[in-house]
Amino acid sequence: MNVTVTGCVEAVDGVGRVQGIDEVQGMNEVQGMNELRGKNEHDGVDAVLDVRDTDEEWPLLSFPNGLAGFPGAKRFMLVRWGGDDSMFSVMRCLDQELEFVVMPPTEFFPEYAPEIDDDTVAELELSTSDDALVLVMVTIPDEVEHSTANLLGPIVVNRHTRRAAQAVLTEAWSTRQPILISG
Amino acid sequence: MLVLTRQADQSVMIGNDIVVTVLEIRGDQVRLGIRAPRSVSVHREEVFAQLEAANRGAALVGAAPTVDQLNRLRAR
Repeated sequence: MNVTVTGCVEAVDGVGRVQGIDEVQGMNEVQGMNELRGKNEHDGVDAVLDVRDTDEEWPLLSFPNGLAGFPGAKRFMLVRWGGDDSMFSVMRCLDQELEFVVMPPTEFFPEYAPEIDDDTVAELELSTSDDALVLVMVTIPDEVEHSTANLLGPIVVNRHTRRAAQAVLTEAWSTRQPILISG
Repeated sequence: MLVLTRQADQSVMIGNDIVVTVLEIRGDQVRLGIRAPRSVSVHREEVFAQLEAANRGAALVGAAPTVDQLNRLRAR
């Protein structure tokens, strides 16, 4: 049984629950970054590292198999990045110094409907597509207009268990799909 | 590299629980069946290499993107 995930616009909030992204953006939230880092003088990695004392408040994703190229990277904290209404998060590894920017694909790629392979579905114990949170890694160079997203290897998370894996799609999606910005 | 000669329907075992079976040989293509525990991920090598490269490229070097950069991404 393959699970096709469509329009999966939800995010994990900072208090250990899973909510729709609108909810998360609208109200309570992801407490955080700003308070913890003292009113955003920094937007850099240092600021993220400052939240170390509060690790337990952040959603922890577990990648039992690690990531391609980083087999030892098994535990990541998901921190909303760029303000309370941002769709971007930083996935920060707790096993080594490693961070990725991720986002739900829906905003920029509404037609993206990855078909997750059986092994990943079984490994993450996904019963329905609603169990899955899909995120894609984003590469943002200095020239922001050249930003790309990895649509070939989406991050799939079981919302309930926080078990996660990087799927490899069999369809011909790009690992460097430009994020087109109009205007 | 260990080199073995196999025919269609013959297999190779790797360790105790991984079996690679030659299913079909047709022209310059070989179809393989792979039976392995779920904890072992199986990928086409070139796809895995592509994913590794993508992940290395996506890993943040230095500072994370600024709020301003992210806002420019969202300004559509």
